[in-house]
Amino acid sequence: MSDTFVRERLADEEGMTLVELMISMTLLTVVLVPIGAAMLLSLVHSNGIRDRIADSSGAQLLSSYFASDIQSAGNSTSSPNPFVGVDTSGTGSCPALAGGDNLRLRVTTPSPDQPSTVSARTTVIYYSHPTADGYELYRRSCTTSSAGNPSLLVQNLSGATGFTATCNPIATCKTVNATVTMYNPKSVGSSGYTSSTFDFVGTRRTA
Amino acid sequence: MSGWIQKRSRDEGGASLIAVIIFVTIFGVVTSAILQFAGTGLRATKAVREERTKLVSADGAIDGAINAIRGSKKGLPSEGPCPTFTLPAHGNDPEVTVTCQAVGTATGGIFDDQPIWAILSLGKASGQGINKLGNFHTVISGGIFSSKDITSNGGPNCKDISDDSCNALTIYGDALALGTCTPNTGATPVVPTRLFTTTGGELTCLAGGSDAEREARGQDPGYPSALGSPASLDANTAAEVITLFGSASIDPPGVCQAGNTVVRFQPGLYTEQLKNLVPAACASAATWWLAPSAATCTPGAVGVYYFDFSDGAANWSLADDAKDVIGGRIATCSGAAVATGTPPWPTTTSGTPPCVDNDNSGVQLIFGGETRLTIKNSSNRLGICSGKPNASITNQRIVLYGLPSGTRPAAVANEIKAGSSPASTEFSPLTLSKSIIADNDFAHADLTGGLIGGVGAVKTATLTMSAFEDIPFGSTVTAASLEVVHKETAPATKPFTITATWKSMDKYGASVAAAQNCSGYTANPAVHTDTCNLLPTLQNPTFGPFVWKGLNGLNTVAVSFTSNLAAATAGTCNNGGKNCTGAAAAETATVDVDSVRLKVNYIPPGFEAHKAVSYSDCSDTGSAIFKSCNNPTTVVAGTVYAPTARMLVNVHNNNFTSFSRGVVVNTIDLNASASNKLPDQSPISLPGSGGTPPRIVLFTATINGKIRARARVQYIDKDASGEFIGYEVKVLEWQVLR
Repeated sequence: MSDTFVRERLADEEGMTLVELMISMTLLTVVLVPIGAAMLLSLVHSNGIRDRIADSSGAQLLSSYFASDIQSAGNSTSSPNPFVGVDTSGTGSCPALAGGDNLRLRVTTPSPDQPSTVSARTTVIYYSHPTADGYELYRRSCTTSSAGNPSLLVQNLSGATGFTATCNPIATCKTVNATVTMYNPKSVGSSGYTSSTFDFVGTRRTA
Repeated sequence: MSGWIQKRSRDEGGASLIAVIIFVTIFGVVTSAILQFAGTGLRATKAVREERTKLVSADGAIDGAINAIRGSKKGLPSEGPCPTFTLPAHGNDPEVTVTCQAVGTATGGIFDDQPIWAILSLGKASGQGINKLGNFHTVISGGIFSSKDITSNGGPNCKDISDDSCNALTIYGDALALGTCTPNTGATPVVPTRLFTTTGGELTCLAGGSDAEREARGQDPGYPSALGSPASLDANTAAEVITLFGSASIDPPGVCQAGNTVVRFQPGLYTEQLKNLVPAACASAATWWLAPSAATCTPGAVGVYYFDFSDGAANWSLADDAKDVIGGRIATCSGAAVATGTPPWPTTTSGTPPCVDNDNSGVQLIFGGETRLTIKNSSNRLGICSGKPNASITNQRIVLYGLPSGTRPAAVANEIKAGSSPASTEFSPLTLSKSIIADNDFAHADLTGGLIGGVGAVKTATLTMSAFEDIPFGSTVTAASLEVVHKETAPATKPFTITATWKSMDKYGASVAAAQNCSGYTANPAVHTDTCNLLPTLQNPTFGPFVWKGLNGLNTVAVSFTSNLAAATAGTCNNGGKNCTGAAAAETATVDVDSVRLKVNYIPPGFEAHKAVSYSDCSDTGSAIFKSCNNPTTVVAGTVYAPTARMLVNVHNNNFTSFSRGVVVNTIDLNASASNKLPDQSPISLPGSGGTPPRIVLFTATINGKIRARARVQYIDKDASGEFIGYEVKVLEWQVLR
């Protein structure tokens, strides 16, 4: 393509030829179709992707707290005031739950530097909290003198009992198995999203 | 519109730009939202990862620190400082420092509720230390430390550790003496022949050698009392002393309970022997109960009894009192009263004290001055339980505390001023000073025997002083007198009686009328001073010194001057009323009072150090804060801390002797005779199996100055065969801190 051809081509007033048009349309189609498909897909599946990311993040947060909380749990017969290190009843040092909240796990940690001082113990509770769109899982850490702010760990909890924790063996609760199920009905079908389930295992360090 | 369409249809402009813009906009919004969401997740992941790295590093460092001392005995309270463990930084992992603290030490351990040693003797003079007397084997469950000698003289040698028929000490733990252990083989280093330690226990007798590290292990822990440190107690003013206890708790009388079989005492400051405070109704009660609280039996109270009996009468002898003494919470107590019947005492097979041990209730008996305790025979037993005192002062469960320092405030000789002008119907003018100064400002009274028949006689003139100033509540009054500055004119054969009248107190502080008659004063026209000793009627001398409990007794003093003046007589007349003889005018006298002084010498209330005073009891003439004789039943469920005092402990027959939380004294003489029927029972011990204090260590992991994890760990150094250092590690608590 010489300079002369270009100058002539620019100078003339002729439109594109059919061939040129077909080529350009073909190329445009080749480019636009996948992009459009991608856009369509993103529009269709964005909810599902978002929820998967949220579920994954929630599980990650939960795993970060859960393992160390269980690791710190006191044993069930510590003297002089026997208490249950891992339990699902009562909120310990934390304030009572609001209506609709559902206690899922309570972990009591005695302070090693004041092991027999009840007021020095830390209580960590995990509880589900209803929202307009479903349930969320919160964690709260408290002592008798201060109650920490609740931390949101998991969105899209599948229900009030979407997080469960069980002792193994039940008598000593040396190990705690937990399962969290996350489920957002609004995203079902989006990008194949159904629900997410994660299993955790925490082991108490105390004898 | 049609025009626009026609025009639009004719031009050659494309719509691709608009379509692309719309597409890119929608696509960008959706994609950016998702990417932003994903980005947040990535950032959160990073933060979570970093946090987890720190926690895992802290966890790992504590694990490393636990293992670092597992093979040693570091962490035993008596083993000196526990080393710090450092996990160096590696890659993205931060450096972690783990400090190691043997709990139960005197330097800030959080389990400071027992001494390091079962016996710690601090005396460094000749004859001081730990002396084993008698001719029978004795076991001590827990280490012993003598700042001077450990002796086991008298009686036969032992064949081995299990040989009971000898005079020896077997220690379940370490045995250290900075002085000599006798007898010994004469070898160097010193090898004692009657001092044994169980497997693994250190046995060192330095024979006067210098070893700073070992010496540091036997320092006086300096435990404060439940009321505070000795220095703080010594600094208390008289008013503060009273505030500590409350004025109602100065020599409070006992209360009869359980059908008059028990006398209940309450915490307080006692200057009187308890026998002087027993109500008559329960004088024959066999048990005295030192309750943790005056008001309730509910667990949680630690009752503090400060005993500072008067010098010369300070030996509290249970045998002389013929009583059992129980201190602490009694299980059968309900409300504020103990139920009928006394709790069971220890037997040959059970050392359970009659009080409730190992809860938050109990008593602490603080001995000041010459006060000491003696148990002479099996009929009069002692059972005391400690409680956990206020942790802000001490965690030690001390049940018997010999105050190591402090001086009672100096005695005060005081003239107590009357607060108001004197009153009298006979004296005038009443302008004399308020009892202080002899200033020749007299109040004058004329006395007369009266007319014939005594009509109009004024034989007594009374001057009343009132509203006296007070002296500190709880002061021990050593002298009290009334000094009257006065002069009289009267017939030489008519002596005066000066009577001082006031209200005194009985031993319970109740007000009773009393009068001291100071008679026999001869009228003297010169100004002079007469003294009337008030002390004999202030309190019965058999109850010891009088303790001032307010102006209840001396608020008003009436001083009366009485002379037996004769009335006028008419005589006998003859001759129709003439020649009268024998008529006499009434006798008269004058009294002029310049001042009335009330003088009181007293010692304000205060704390004072235990005084070592020799006294004869238990076939021993030495000083001691505690002595027990034959067949004593002594259950002391708490620590004895009396660093300046000596103890004499006898172990005989089947009677149980147990000091179960160790003793810290200047010197201890431990006498076990062949009649001991409990050879395997340790009369002095520390809590913990085998007599060895638990090796419990607190680890604290710090990253960049912030504590990230803590763990309290117990090392079990024994397996089935007896000893295996670091055999097992038990995590008692483990805490992750974010």
